[in-house]
Amino acid sequence: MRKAGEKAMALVDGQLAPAEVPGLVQELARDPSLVAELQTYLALSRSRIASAFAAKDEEPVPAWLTETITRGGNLAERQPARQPGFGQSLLRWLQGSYRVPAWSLAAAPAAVVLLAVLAGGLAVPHPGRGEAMKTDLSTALEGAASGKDAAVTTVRPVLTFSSKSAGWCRQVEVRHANRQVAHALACRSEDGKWNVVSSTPPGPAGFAPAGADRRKAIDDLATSMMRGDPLSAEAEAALIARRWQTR
Amino acid sequence: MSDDIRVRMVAVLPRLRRFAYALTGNTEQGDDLVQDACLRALSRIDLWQPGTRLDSWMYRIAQNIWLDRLRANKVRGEVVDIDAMEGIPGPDGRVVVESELTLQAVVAAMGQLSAEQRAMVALVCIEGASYKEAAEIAGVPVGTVMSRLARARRTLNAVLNQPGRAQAARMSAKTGS
Repeated sequence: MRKAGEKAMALVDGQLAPAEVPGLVQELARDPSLVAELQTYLALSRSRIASAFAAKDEEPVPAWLTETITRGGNLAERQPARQPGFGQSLLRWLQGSYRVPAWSLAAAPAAVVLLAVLAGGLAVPHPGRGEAMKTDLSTALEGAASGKDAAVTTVRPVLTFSSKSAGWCRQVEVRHANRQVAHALACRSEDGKWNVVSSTPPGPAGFAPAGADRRKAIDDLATSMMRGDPLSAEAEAALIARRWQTR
Repeated sequence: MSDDIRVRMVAVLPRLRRFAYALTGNTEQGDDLVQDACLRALSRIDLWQPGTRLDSWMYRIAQNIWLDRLRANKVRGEVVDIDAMEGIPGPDGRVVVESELTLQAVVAAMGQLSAEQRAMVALVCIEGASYKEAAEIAGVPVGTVMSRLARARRTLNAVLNQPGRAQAARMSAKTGS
């Protein structure tokens, strides 16, 4: 019975092998319930359901979506898969560096940690001294141009973009006095606070395979969050001048 | 990566967008799904075999991301088993949908399907895939495609024939529950 019903559906969908049609016709002739089932499939034929969705075909594809492909970059070469265990090492680093209570991290996703910037400033660790070097990351994120060192040459915004769900975001390099560099991604909440979405442990500056992987993990995350392209220098300057108000 | 591939991927976008909308029932969520699928496709373009259908490959990526997301977030809507629904006309007195199907009604009714059934309706009924193509995209036998599709249509018919349930389905779709 069930097989016959599925054959009836296949007939409506044009997917029934010609050799099976005569047998199905015979079954339809002697089984009224199969005819009723056939009517169900006719009422919900491919063309009828597809016609309901025809209105979607008239909607233009958003430019930002097209640009995901046209300007998406050679991700296969540029951004390898995130390192296994990266999230856990990030958690440990954040916990050790910022003295964040364990319970607050336990509730966070492993790979993406949303860490509120405490009191408007982010404590950047100084591995050599064992005490946190205070750097006003919020100030740098709020006002510095990409490519320019901010404050005491410790925070350098790399790029700015509009994210799909978290408003304005910036990718930054955090340069330590011992020339170690960490990479981070922060997003601005509606109340004007910058939240670190993810960051890497500090590592040697310059080209190094391990350091490059850390940077690429942040690149990968930024790309996945990005809606459209990063802002141009002019658009970024205008946005900063507007105090991060879109219009 | 050749520009030719990018051009072909852009050409798939309208259909991929429609497919994602059918899966998610929501334009914004659908577009986010499309973007994620495109990014994944770009990052794994070396896995696509020239000579095979690029659109099928991208459908599969989008469907897998969507299913993974559903499993991860446990946001799958309540699945209504047709056999458990009340007041469904029996086979002999089956009421069939005869009026014009509207997008809103179909999307709302699709919200009552399981994720796998919804994907089958999207692939076969909306995107026009053959059973064989749908089986390859979903990674299941053709027989499974047919059983899921038949069951999905019987559920759709039941939901669309019950105004109260269709309204409830619409409310469910709006609230995303």
